[in-house]
Amino acid sequence: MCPNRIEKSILPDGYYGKSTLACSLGRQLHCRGKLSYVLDGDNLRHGLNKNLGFTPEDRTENIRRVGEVAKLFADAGLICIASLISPYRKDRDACRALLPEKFIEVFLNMPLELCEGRDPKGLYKLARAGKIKGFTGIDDPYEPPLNCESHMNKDHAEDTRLIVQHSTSVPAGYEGKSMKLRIPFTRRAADRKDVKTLIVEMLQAAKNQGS
Amino acid sequence: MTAVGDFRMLNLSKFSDLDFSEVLPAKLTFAKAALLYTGCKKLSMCGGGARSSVLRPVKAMESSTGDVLTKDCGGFSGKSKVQITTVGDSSNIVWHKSSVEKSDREELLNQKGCVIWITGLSGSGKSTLACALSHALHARGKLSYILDGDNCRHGLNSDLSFKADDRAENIRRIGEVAKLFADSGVICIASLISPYRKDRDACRALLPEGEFIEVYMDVPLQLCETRDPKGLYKLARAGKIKGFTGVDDPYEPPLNSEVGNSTLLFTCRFKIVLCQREKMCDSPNALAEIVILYLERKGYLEA
Repeated sequence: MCPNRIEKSILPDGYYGKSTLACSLGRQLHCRGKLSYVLDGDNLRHGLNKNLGFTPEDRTENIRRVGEVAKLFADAGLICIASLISPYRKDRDACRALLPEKFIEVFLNMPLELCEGRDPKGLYKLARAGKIKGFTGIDDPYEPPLNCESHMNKDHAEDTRLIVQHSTSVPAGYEGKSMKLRIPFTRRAADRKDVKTLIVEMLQAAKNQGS
Repeated sequence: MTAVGDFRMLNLSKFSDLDFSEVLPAKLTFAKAALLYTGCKKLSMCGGGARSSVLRPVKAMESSTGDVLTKDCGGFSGKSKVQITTVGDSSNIVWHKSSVEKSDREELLNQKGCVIWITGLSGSGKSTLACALSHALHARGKLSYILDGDNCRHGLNSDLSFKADDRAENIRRIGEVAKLFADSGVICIASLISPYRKDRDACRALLPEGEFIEVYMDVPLQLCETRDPKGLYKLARAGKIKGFTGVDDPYEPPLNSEVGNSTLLFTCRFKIVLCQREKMCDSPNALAEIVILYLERKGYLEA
């Protein structure tokens, strides 16, 4: 009923986080007549996972349960958008193992300073003041994914600009204005790792044309 | 009055204001169900039935600019006032509002999300009814999903045993997941023994009134044991399984239910009772059609 492919989007820097992205994604899918459902880590802790805390064991169980529920939703034919910190790699990999062909990991690679600068829920402040223990990024680690399908990173802004300029007629330098562009790949990705190779290829092509 | 076989049908004209708050003496087969529908001026049903409207794609909105990310999605700006709460053991959590509401999804699917909770002894036909119901809904272009108690114990609830506490947790978790499915617009069919009344009532309390429909498979223990589809009664009687519902653990039927001597059907406040007795067993498809009749009458099969 719903497609499982991923579309590579290059988004400019913006003030968005996991929940906001999930929300936006859900809405855009809905506009295309596709049924999706957001499983937000915090929301689930109001219901299914309300008997779990934030110890490492409970975090693991939290993610396990969300993974199992997401699997059920995928089986039902929905596009399930799970949005949670999920800091430990092995927990995310365990969820991936539940649905090998249908698990798409999207890593929002924002530096800690940027996240802390935003601090939308005031939690970093509380954590720095020692009022929250074991807060991810402060006194609990975040383990980034090793290979993932989408990679949006402020450090790649220049590369992004080059690819956009090369692939589209959008002029360089779009400061001050937010835009959303969908850049198609030059060829079909063979697998997950190939996605990164493709981006490198596109960047190389953009640089070659520029030189 | 139409006499069909040995059973008396209610006057069809009554069905025009059918409230499902009366007892319908009927051994319902397809033919009779079709009669009911004719009386109600509804679609006539038969196995594999009429296909009602398929998903209507939502008209695509105009392509939006980047500000949709921050403006429309409840995204957080630095100074927004957010409500941080503690629920149970989860501290410092914030409820994130989605921009796509349940009503939007229901419009997309042309149905109302709800939970159909099938309860009864082992061997009473819960899973079979769930399958038949799911098929029948699919034939009508409705999206449903089955949460089978046994299946969930392979995945989400694989860490739970059959002790009383774990049974309660099993049901709680399935109730919460069913709630999520209902919120997504799907008709969620939960099929599990769920023997304790307070656990079922706790699940009912999770959802707004009208979104939790309890279907009680009222089949006598003897009949279930005769069927014994998974050989569990035999093991329980031999003492190899302890705390088996019906043998050495109680089953608490829903309140406000009456037991009769013939196959009775009645509904009361979102509870459907399907009685099966030795001499008169309806097929799963027939029972499924009874539930569908209810859903259709109550408006669950349209947005």
